[in-house]
Amino acid sequence: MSLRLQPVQVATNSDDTESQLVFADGYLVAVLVCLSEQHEDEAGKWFL
Amino acid sequence: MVRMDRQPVVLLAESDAVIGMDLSDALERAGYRVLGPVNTAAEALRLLVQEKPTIAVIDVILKDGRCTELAHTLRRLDVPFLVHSGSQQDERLASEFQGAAWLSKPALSTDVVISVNELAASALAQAAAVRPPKLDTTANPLIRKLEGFTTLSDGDRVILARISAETRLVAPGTDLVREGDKPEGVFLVMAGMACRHKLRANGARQIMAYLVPGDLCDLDVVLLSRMDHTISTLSNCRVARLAPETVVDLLENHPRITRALRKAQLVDEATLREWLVNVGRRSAPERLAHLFCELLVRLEVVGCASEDAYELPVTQVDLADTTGLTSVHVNRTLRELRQKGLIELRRGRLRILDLPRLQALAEFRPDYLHLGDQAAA
Repeated sequence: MSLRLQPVQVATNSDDTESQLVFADGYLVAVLVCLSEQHEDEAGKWFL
Repeated sequence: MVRMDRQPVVLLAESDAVIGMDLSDALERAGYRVLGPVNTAAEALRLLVQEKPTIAVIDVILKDGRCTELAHTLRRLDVPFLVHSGSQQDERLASEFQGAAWLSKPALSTDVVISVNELAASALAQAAAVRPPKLDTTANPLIRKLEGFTTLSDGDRVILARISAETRLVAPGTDLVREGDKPEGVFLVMAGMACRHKLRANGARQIMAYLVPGDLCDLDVVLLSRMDHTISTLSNCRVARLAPETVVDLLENHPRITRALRKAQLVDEATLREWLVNVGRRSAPERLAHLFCELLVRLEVVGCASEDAYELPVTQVDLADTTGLTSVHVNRTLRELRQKGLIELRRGRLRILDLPRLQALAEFRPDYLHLGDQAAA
């Protein structure tokens, strides 16, 4: 299985916008959103 | 039975949870009200701010380290303490523990109780003048809640005040009764917030109800052989446990109280239906808005909310497990509600800034709480 990431901006209605589309063998399987400072301890983590 | 207003209070700080529970049970059987058990000095210090115990039982080392500050604080507050510790006896020479009664761990719980009895007897003799205020029935959340459902007599109020008097303080995150346990009485929350929940094997938790002051868990639960869910505290709580025979006496001999309790039970079921709609058919902002509107009404009835604000001692994870959302989604949604000028949630206190708009968002109608329709009772 090969994974490919594609940077994208997601409208989450929050400060969390920097995101990655995750493709597995050409199929979209996940959207990862990077948590912004508004999440304090969780900031910088990826939300599936 | 030891009366509430004469009941000596023991602060129990013990790093081992099992020993803590064991000692707590033994002390309660001996007629003490136990603050804790807590396993950190920080928690013990926090309890000390809320209430000064008659005596304390502490360990030298707690989960957050050596309890030097705790020992000093107890001395400053003039609270005699017993050290129950597995630490070397030469610790006794350390200044903060000098002259304190000492038992080597593990001591028999009966020995701890005997030592506590001795300490308490001398402490109570010295402080005979200090007594907590008399029970005020108008401030009793159980009475306030049931009076919302039916008219009670003075006799009813006295009985309710009596059964709710023997409370114990329980730390946040404590299971009062676990799924699978045999129910041994009915819990009554007198202060703080608790919840009913189910825990999946993968650690996922669904909270099915909040129990606020005045809430009685499952009137007829003793008819069941096993609990089908767990009841845990979310914040520091003051909880009373009603023995099965107390409940039977209420149901057989006090018709007005029984009617009010049965109505409370129906309201619990109606509330559960609203919560089911919440997780099944409402959006994230609507779910939180509905919960906040409901809690305002419920807490106002029992005197725990002002007209637009109340203590909400729950974490975002608790809110997530209540509303079937992730904590990330809860965080975003709270922010959205704040930005719309609907609420303000700061340091465990929720202020509703625009109640009509929050109610409109949630389509909240308080009918299902059946307050004030006494005629039907």
